[in-house]
Amino acid sequence: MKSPIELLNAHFDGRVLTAEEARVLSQWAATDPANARTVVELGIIHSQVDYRLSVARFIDEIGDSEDPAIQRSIESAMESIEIGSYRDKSLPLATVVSKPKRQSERLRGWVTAAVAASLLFAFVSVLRSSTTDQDASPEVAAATPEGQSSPQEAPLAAVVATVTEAIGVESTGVAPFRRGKYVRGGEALELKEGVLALTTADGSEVVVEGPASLVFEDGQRIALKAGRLSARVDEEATGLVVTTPTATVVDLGTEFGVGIGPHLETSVAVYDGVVELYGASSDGLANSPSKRITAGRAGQVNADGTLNWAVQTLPNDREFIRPDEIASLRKARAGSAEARQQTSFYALQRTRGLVAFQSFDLPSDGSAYSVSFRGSPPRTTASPTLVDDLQAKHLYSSGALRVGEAENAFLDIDNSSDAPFARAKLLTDRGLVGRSGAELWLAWKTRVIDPERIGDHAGLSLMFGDQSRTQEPLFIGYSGGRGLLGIVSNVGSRAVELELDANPETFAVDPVGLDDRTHQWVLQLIFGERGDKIAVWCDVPLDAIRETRPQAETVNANVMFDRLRMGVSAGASDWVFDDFVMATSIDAISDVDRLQSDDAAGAR
Amino acid sequence: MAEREWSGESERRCDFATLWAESYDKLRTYVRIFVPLLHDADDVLQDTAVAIAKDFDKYDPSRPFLEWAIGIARNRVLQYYRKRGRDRRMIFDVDTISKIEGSLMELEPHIDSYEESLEFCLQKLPDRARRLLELRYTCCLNATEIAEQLKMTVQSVYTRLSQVRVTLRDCVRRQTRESGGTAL
Repeated sequence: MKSPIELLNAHFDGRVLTAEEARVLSQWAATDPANARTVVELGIIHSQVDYRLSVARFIDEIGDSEDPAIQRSIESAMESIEIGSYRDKSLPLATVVSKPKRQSERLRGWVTAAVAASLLFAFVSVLRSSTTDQDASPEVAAATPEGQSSPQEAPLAAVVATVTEAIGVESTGVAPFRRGKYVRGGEALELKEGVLALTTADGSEVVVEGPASLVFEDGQRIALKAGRLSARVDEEATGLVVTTPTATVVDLGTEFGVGIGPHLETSVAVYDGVVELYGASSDGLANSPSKRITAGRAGQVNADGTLNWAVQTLPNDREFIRPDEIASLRKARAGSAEARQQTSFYALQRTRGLVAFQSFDLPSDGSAYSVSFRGSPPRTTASPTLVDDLQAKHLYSSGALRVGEAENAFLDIDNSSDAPFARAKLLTDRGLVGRSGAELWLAWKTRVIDPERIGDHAGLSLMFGDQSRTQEPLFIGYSGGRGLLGIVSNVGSRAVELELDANPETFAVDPVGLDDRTHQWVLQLIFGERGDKIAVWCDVPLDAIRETRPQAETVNANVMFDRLRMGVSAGASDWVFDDFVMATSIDAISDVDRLQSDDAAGAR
Repeated sequence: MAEREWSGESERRCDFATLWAESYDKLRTYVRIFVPLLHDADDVLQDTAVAIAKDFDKYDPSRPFLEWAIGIARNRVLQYYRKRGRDRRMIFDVDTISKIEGSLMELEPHIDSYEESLEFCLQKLPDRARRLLELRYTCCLNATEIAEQLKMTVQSVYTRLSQVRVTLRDCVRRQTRESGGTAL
């Protein structure tokens, strides 16, 4: 365990502390006032060093706004603050902008701009929520972006939203989308592609995914004609209404996504709070049938406007690009590998059919970038050892888990009712994976450090308790000291052993021995009423699995599990395990692999 | 009448601008203690500015502005963690947050001299330590990226950054004592 000061600094540097580390740090800071003071002192150093050293970065960010409107907005705000201070307070600007006499000229300019930017944002946000264009202040009028007349000059519709980010946006409209662009009531937004983030006059955040066509009718009503959007409604501003050709979605204080399908059917996903979903088949909202959709649920209105009464559990939390994803997209675009990893992970979570993922993220000891596995780090009989990734083509901070001689490591599956396994209807009544009629695919990688040291066994087990054999319906690896890869299917006290056949197209079994190469494993489980079908492939390209005969195939009377065990017997070499992906289809496994490759390609 | 209202509104905004500018770096420090990711911290600070501007008429000028503003910043920090859900947790409990706030308020009168000393101490840093800070703050790299650049392990980057900050803290304490300021 690191010292509390090291933990605090690691926290400052973005490392996600484990729950235990956080508890230790928090307790330490609370036990002695000197410790709390140390937290503040190191916080000042962290913040101030960043302040002083990040001038170039800040200038880059400002420079990013080639849009002269943003530059002018900052200048205008500064001007108004300066004039206002002289006029009303008789204060020199120096007093207003945070101790410039003691700071270098370069820093002074930057601090001034930073304070001004924050002030401008605050002023404009407050004004938008409390006033109309007609009574906007001179300060705000001065900050109106280029090409948009001041409200006094022309009777334009009220500003109902502001573009806060435009990522890869191509529009069919005349004006390009840029940060700071105002959207006026009734203005049509047509996106061919890209992601557009906006803040409405009420402070709600809206993200539009292209291609899309929509109109902000006013600050509280959006007509979505095609495409997808998500919205996070400010706590104090409930009542955002999104209409589609077939439905009306009324926010009741929430975060939600709305999408229009190819036949104009409307789907709604609720991430937080509640929405009321109306079908558009009858006249008038008050007379339309409606369904209340709560957090974690999805609703649908059919193409003919009839309400689908069956509310579904959300397959994942990232089906829509949500407002909190925008900051990561922005940073990824600026070249941050960490942000690119985060956005790749969001995209990965959107993979249809994905139920679990673990790539052993190094900085967080495996807790970050993981789906459906409980606990962090993995539960082990010794201390867990995370090592470098088995292959370079993965999320950039991911590693791998090394399991040593006579050690077991467990990945416990999250079988709670709102977790992906439950949502995918893979769980039995006892909460174990293995519901009849379901299909599950599992992919993972392994490498043996020293293939000469065999011992008794090593490999992966599917288990419903920690006891070998009795709570271990399936094992994939080698056993019995033979050093040949295969599977062991335990049924009660009986074990059925099957060797992998390197060439299943021929009659004779061509056994697969140990070596020190990295191997890609794929397991298919089809859970049936009378037996569960098991098929295993080793080193078969993922996109060729469907056309390739399994290298081992058997049937087990009852495979069920709630944990994966990576085990190495006494006398055996260390094994490295990596990239566990579980999904309801092989296509989803391939998609995840592709996303990881894309991320790695981007990182290079 | 309308003109008088406008004038009052303008004055209120200037009061806000003055107080916000005076407290900006302290509030930024406060937010960065709890929200380590730079862009997230900036977003929380921005939200705080908006909330303070919205509620500025509720501010009692007889009370310290920083204390009132910290209360609003605290709510925004907690709101940020509620929205982040499982992927990032607030690492300090409520009792500890309160103690950290108490310390910040105690140190507040000395923070200006602290920052002056910090500038001096930064100049005295050895080149390697300075380079590390530049990679972290100017280039905005994370520990893994720095480790790749400097051919170090990620853990040793965390350790080294921690050592550099503690060195700066000790230097600032010495400087502050030598210049006759209140010992921090």
